[in-house]
Amino acid sequence: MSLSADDLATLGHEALTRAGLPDAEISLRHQRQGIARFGRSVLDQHLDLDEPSVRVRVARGLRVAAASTNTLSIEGLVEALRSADALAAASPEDPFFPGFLGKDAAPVADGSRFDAATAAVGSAERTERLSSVFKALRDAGLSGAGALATSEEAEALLTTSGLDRRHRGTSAAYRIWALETPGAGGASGHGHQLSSAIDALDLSRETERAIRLARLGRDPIALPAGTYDLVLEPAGVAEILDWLSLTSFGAREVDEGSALVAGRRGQAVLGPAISLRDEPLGPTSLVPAFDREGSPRRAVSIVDRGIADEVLFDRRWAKRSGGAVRTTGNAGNYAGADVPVAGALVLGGGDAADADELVRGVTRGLYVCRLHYVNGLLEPRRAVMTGMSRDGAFLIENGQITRPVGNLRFTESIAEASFRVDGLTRTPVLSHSLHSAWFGGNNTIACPAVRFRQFTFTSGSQPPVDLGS
Amino acid sequence: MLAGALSARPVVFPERAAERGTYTTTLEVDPFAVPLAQKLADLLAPHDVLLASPLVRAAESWMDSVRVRKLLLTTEGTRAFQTIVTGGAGMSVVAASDTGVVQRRTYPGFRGSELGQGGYEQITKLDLLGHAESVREEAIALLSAPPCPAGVRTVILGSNQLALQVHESCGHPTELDRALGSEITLAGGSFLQPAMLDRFRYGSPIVSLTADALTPGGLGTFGWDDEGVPAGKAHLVRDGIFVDYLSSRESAAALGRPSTGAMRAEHHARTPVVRMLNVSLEPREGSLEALVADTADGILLDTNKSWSIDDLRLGFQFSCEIAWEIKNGKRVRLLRDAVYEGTTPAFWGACDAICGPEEAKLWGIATCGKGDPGQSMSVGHGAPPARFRGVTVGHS
Repeated sequence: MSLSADDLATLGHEALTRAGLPDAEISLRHQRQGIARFGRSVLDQHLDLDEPSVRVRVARGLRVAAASTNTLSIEGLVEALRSADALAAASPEDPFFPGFLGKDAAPVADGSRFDAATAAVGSAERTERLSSVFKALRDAGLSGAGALATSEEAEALLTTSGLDRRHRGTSAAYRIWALETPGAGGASGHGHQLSSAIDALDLSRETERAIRLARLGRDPIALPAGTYDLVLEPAGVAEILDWLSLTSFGAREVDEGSALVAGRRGQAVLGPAISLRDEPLGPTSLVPAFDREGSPRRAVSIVDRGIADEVLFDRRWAKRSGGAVRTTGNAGNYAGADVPVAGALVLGGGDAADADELVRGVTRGLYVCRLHYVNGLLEPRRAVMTGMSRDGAFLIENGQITRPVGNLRFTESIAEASFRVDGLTRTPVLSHSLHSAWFGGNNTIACPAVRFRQFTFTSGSQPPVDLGS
Repeated sequence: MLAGALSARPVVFPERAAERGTYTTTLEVDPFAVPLAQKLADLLAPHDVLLASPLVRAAESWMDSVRVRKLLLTTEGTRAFQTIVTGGAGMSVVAASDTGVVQRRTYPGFRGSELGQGGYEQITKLDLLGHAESVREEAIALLSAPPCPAGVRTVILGSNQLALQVHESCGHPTELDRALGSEITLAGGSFLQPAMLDRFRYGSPIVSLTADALTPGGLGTFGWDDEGVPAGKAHLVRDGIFVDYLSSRESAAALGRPSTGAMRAEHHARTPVVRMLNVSLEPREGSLEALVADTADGILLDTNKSWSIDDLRLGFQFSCEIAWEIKNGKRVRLLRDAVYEGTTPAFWGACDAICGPEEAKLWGIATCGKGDPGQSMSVGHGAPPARFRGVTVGHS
């Protein structure tokens, strides 16, 4: 069932009216998504989901509380509002609560990225689009895993003070693994693409890429731990940036002192090749034009040619700063906490036409397609992270990719490594933020491929497990 | 029907007799009957203690209570109604020095590991207020502690860290759907392949790991899994040998084995997939302090800070909030930012001591992620502290 933002707003207004609370906010979201997921070259899960999610906040002066529900019945919405009201009555005052936005809030840009064709995609069409994928995998003699997902979202954010924000959008995502042996290791190749429109996805291109990488990845050699020049494809860069965003750019982490940029505005925190911006109104963004508090989103310069610039704020953290800053329109959520987060992080590109050009500048090093299980919590102040290579790691010798390499683990201060970046491709590639996607959000990361000099790998390639031991 | 149109082989789904019954969590105190004012007081009091130092930059205290009512009806005639109540509480504090060192301490364990099945008694037994001062002081002490020195050392994992070690390096690789290649899209496959059953040495002979849905208070405890298989218990590793998987009816049938009843979905709108239950290291004997006293030179690490493991569940790296250096059977100094790495079978093969049942705390993790779309699952881990020889350690 498709629900428009106008439908949600009608429900929200009625719920607020019926609840009769003087100071309340209701955020309604409806997502209709379809996921055709396959493993071992079999379409083994095909879901069509209609999922509403509602969060309400109620304030009694500076006492504020929230409740959530997944029903869109008026009775359920009113019950959620009354639950939040009861909780607010019992809560201590939050001196930093800025109040809810009202009808005088600044206007937002038109941030809708709605593609009617994507919204209309059903199970049969997703299955049909995948049929050529399965044929390509069969012809290549490889097993396949992946998913084709389409989504239509509608949101409405309303307050009793007259705020009324509405958003609709669509997204389409394709991810494919071509595998030598399903589940047991062996060579693997990966492709992925994300867009607001399904017709922008090129399943054939990404499938052929995954197949090509899987073929190239057979019989890898083992490499020892050490420092290597590294060309990292956009998917790997995105995972690093996702963790960097989580730990380093928000007002909460800055206040705690754990953020990379804490106390360092105007200082070189990353290498000069690195410019990071939040571009929620950019052409590839999938987030609404307003944040979780209803503030207009805007472009934010986070790091400008390595120099720490703006910190991400929401209205509460802005008030907590004593009025020194205003919200940057980044009110968000992570793991159940209301914290400022980037909605559409973009790493500025460089001059290299493509990753091959970066490879040509390496005498001996590594080419890594993706990373796995990156963790950025080792030491956020220095952006120390760890993770594994995955789905394609190759030796570069004299400017050419020569042999596949068994996966290695890196442990590196990304901040320090960024000073050894001397090449980026021109065109960014779009990925979902893994952290956002896990919590049902649509935050994205757009980044190019990057060449690092002397990147630290702390564990060498794993030898095969001895079956007979 | 749509999936079948593209399927290369028929699905074998073994029949079972119908199951009928109810399962209900035993509660001492219904958490939903506890007044809100009491709950807030139980959180605010320790929170105030955590903040009582100028070196503290942030503090949090939290509690969760969840009640799930689940009815499973199948065409085989199964009718299973379950009411499962879980809950827990915790707190954390962030301290920072003026030299830029920042340290966090979390109690009772890393956030998200403190849950159990039961009522408000799960929360009160944690005594947040009684531990707040020591948690704060540990965070402050860590600010001036030296980083963990690098080297190859004997390592003792405290109960909370051992729970995550079990989770990542045993629980996940023994998920049969992962081993067979059905879960590549999120976290990969498994080095534990079917041909290795009953012959592969996963760990030393003192290492036995079980999966059960029976342990009272376990987050992975229930009456029936989400395809109607009744709760049971199975060894995954017995005396160091890999012997079984967490499995579903379909996946187990592929190996000619019965399901170990591990098919679970986060909620009604997600397809069940093979998940952990309570995956636990069987305790042996002795207290943690006796184990420390028996260790001439080593590092004791506890409370997970970061986690990373490869897509076959072989090569891992963990860091912990707190560590102590052990010399001649005594903890001699506090260490910070401790990191350790290993390879799963080599690591478990170097396990030479496991504490007794009195030390085997039952942890509950409610945020285990798997599947596409992603699902979180509640799983339990009984985790006695244990000692491992020859482990690579260092600092971040």
